[in-house]
Amino acid sequence: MGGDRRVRNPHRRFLHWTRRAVQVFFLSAFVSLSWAASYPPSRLPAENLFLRVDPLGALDAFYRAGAFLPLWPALALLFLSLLSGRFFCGWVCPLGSALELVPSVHRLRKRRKIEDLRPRSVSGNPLPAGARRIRAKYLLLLALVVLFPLGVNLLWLFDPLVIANRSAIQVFAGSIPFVLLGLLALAQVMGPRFWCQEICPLGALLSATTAAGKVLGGNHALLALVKEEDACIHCGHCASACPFAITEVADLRESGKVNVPDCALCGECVKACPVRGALALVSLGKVLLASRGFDRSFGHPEGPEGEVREK
Amino acid sequence: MEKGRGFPGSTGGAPSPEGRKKEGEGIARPRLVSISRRDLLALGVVGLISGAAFAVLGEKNRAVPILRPPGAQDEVAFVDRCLRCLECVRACMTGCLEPAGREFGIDRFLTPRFNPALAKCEFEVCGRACARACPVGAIQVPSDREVRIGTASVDRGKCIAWRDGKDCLVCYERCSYQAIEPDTRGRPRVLGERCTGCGACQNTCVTCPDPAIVVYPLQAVPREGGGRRKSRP
Repeated sequence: MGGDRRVRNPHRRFLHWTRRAVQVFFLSAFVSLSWAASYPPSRLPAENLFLRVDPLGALDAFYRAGAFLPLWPALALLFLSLLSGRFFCGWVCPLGSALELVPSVHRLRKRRKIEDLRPRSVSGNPLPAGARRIRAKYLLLLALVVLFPLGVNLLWLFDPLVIANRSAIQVFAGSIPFVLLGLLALAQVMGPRFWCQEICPLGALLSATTAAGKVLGGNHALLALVKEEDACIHCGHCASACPFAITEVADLRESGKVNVPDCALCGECVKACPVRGALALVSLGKVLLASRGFDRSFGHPEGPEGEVREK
Repeated sequence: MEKGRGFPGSTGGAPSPEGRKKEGEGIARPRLVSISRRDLLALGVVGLISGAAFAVLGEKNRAVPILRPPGAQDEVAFVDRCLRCLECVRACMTGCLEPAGREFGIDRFLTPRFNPALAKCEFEVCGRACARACPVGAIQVPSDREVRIGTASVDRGKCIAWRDGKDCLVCYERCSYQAIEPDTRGRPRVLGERCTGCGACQNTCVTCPDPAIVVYPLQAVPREGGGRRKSRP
């Protein structure tokens, strides 16, 4: 991870630690809720919230109960994802945060070139720019959704929130959370977010929701990554900094909202971008955080590079 | 692909026209759908996880009966529905639930198991904490009268009252449902229609190392007597 150390950016660390703080907040909220689930049951509406927010768990509940009302947290998450992409994965998901907060040997590797970061075919050639990938996570999601009504419930093995919940309880109870340990090992070898981007069925569902949001006009209204093509030098720093291994941001040739369904809006690319005003995280027209020199107020009079062009 | 070309951005930020041109050139026409190395690797990991789970846990093993929390749906529906999130285990007041071990087979691994050896189930007292904790409604809330976790059964070859003629009626004293009655010679007998399977008798039984009175799932209750028992839950 990390960008070029020679370029100092006052906003960079702020962005980095803001997200870390949010992640730690949700992770500790998750652990405390899990802890609070012991007897006597709390009367908090937040009880089980992380499990009820899970659309895959809601699928489970819906298949047999057939009631929509108890599913409102899951539906709310899907709705927010229509409007703002996979923010849940980058900022909220306790399993994703745990994988990312645990130091990974993978980060110590030398930063790679964008050519090496682009997806490669099985034979080793880079995939052409327009090629559609058969992403494993979609296959897994499809398999889970198809197998579920047939009576094969594999959600327990692959649903990230269930894994996280079970692992927390297992740790409290003093038993060993094998699935979590396996995922941590995977993070050491393949990078902290390999699971999230390539395998996680919930991530696949939220990616699909984001793609649907683009069609339906949701289009990252609440939270968006915005690119300024005129400023972009296509250096590839964003791609090498992306924990989710996305190269599309670097390859994109137009200004405006970056509509990549797999993007978790974590802002690591904004942090790594060496060019003033090339990338920014934008919410409702306001620039939350921007790459080097980018002013945090929208349309700063300082210069043209301070502006975000809305599409 | 040109090898050895570093980041233009890291050496001053000059745009790289050649980099722009290179893209998409010299590469075969895009196939409509392709699979990348990463995806193949990810599929491998998925296969590895599922494969390891099946290898370690073995096949479905429905032969071993299992006790469920009070109000659990019938076994097949429960197993299909349970997320194995262990919220019920954590919510339980007495700590009578535990995640099922490997001996119950892959389809029931980590599902909640009521183990009377840990504690009695206080379903009339706790307000059905397990059912309330379940995020998918796999555990329902029948009225207290309807709860049938299982039925206790005395192993007369182990019970010291039956086997040795001792004056022991601890299970009788502990039962809240008058489901155990001593016969004329002071030996415990279970009245199946009254027993809720709360496990108080098994939890309190004094015989060592195994309790002589054991709660069985409804479909696996052995006939009381001196004969051989079916496998224990």
